[in-house]
Amino acid sequence: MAAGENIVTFLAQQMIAAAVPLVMAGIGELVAELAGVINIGIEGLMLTGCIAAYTAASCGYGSIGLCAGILGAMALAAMFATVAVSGRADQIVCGAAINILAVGASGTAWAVFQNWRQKHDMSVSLPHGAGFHKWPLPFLSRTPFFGPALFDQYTLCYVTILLGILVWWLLRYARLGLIIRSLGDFPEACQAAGIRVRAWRWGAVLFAGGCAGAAGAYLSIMRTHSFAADMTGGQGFVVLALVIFGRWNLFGLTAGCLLFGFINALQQVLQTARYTAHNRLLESLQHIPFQWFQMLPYAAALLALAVMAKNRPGPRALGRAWPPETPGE
Amino acid sequence: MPFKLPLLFNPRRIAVLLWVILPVILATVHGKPCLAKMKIALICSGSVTDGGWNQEGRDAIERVGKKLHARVSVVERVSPVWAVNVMRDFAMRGYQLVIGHGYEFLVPATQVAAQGVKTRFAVSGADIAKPHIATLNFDLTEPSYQLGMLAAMLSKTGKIGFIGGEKIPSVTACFRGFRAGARSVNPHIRVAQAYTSWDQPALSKSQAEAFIQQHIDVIYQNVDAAGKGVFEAVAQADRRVKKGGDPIYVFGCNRNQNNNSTCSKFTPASAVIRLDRAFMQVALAVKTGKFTAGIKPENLHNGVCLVVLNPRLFGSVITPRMRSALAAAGRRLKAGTLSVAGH
Repeated sequence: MAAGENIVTFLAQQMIAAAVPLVMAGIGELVAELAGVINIGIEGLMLTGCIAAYTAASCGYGSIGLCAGILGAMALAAMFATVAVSGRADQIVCGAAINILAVGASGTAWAVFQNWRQKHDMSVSLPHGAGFHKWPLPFLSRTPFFGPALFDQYTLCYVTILLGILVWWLLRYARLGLIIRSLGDFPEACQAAGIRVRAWRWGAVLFAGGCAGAAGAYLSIMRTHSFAADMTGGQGFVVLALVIFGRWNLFGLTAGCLLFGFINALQQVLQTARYTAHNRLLESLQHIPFQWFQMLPYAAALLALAVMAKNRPGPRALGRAWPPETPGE
Repeated sequence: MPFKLPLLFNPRRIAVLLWVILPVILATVHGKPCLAKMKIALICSGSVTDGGWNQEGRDAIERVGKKLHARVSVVERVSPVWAVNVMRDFAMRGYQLVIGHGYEFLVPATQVAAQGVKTRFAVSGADIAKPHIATLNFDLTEPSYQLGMLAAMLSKTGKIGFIGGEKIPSVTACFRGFRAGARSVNPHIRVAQAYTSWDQPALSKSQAEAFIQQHIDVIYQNVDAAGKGVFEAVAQADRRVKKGGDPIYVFGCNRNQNNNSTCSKFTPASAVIRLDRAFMQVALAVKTGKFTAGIKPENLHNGVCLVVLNPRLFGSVITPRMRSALAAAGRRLKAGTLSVAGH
């Protein structure tokens, strides 16, 4: 970020930077929910991705960190699937348990990692070159206004765009998408067609875990090159809300995430400009408590999405275990 | 007639005697301090790996424990609601001193202390007197004043900013001091303030980036674990500054962050709280039976709060003129001839 950068470019860049982890984790959660599994433990999965990526990247390779973040979150997602999909336990309760487990486990892992590094006289910071830096695409990143915003981002931003397009196409046109949507809407039909509902749901949950892990890795080894306990700060819950308020639609989800990122960037600029700008209107904002500014992205995203698509129903079998309980059970 | 052991050699009696005598023998063998070892507990609201307030607290109390040969227990992530139970538990287990590390522990400590327990309670980072409680009032206002002066001298744009983790008295005191110090050097300087979070580096980073976009070129942060995000934003901005351009600087807070691995070349100074010194004073008072309740001012005057300059930047960034101005201000603040409130 350069001083005095064009405000439009800056806002667009910040919007995308903030939206990337939300969209990435949201794609996974969307697929899982369309398949009939609601995993409210997405916050915990992201946190696991953060710590796994950071500790693994400490070996000096960011790509190893990214893989570890994805695999770590997938391992936790597998625990969730074992209990909630195979064991048919309540998905909400299991998701809450995953969140609690991830907060404790990541904090403990971080403390152990720090103690171990200090014991061996090693820094807890990422070694030079281990964290990802922005990857500006040649020529495109120099396009006026939106060039730097779209094409001067971290690698995961481009991956997220490609993954989003792929998932949209699969869900809309491919047999795979039809199966996933059927799992959430009418699992009985899938069963009748010889599709193994539990196995497919397992796959969807693992995919969601991988996406959340990548989103966590983005926060720790790309955006900030650091780890802090609870560093996701409730972003997993924001994703959960955006998937639901986006009415299980990839465009609704993406629009919600971008809006959230944009308003967040705007409120941060306004918070600053009210003290630094030589403008009476902006200076008058100094009397507004900062909490009002911080509330804006949450309020705007929820309001817009609630108004945009309030009548589209969600997957019919969302949150229901398979096979359904029989009266004799 | 069966052989009978003399009364003294009865195995059962020997076993009973051993159970009674052994602990006493062990205590004697390991030295008397084993019985009289002081026990201190530190209760933190956040993670002790946050790289700031809580981690410094843990490190400080461990240093005190080593010096006093005391047994130290640290509990992290304790909410004020649970703090009453945790503090009562330590009191029942015979801890002589329990320190609540943060103003949020003032009320729980007061409640437990009012129950007539023998344990002594101290709360760090608070500024209100409560019965039976030693309140360690760390005041970074004056070191922040000096940082404000330095910021105004370093700034080329006449715009500087402060990022806090939360709008609480100890944090706003930093901002007040920072602004007053900056205005003492440049009355027209613009000082922005923003509050993000203690543990979200990404949020602090984007706030710092918004500062930089608005031409702010010196940032003072007091956000603990989230401070890494601010350092990252400054490092990223400084990588883009062309040769000969004006760099962005950042100040550390609570602990000496001048040697942070991200952008130590652009961290000229930190406002530091020497927690170990403050904790040691309270622990010694408890140990010697001289503990008294009330507010204990910990500030520039008794050397607990101070500014630490980055010696690697002497000459290149911090000029001799700046150092002498800061030293003079420090002397005047200590002597009481300069008051932050006056600004």
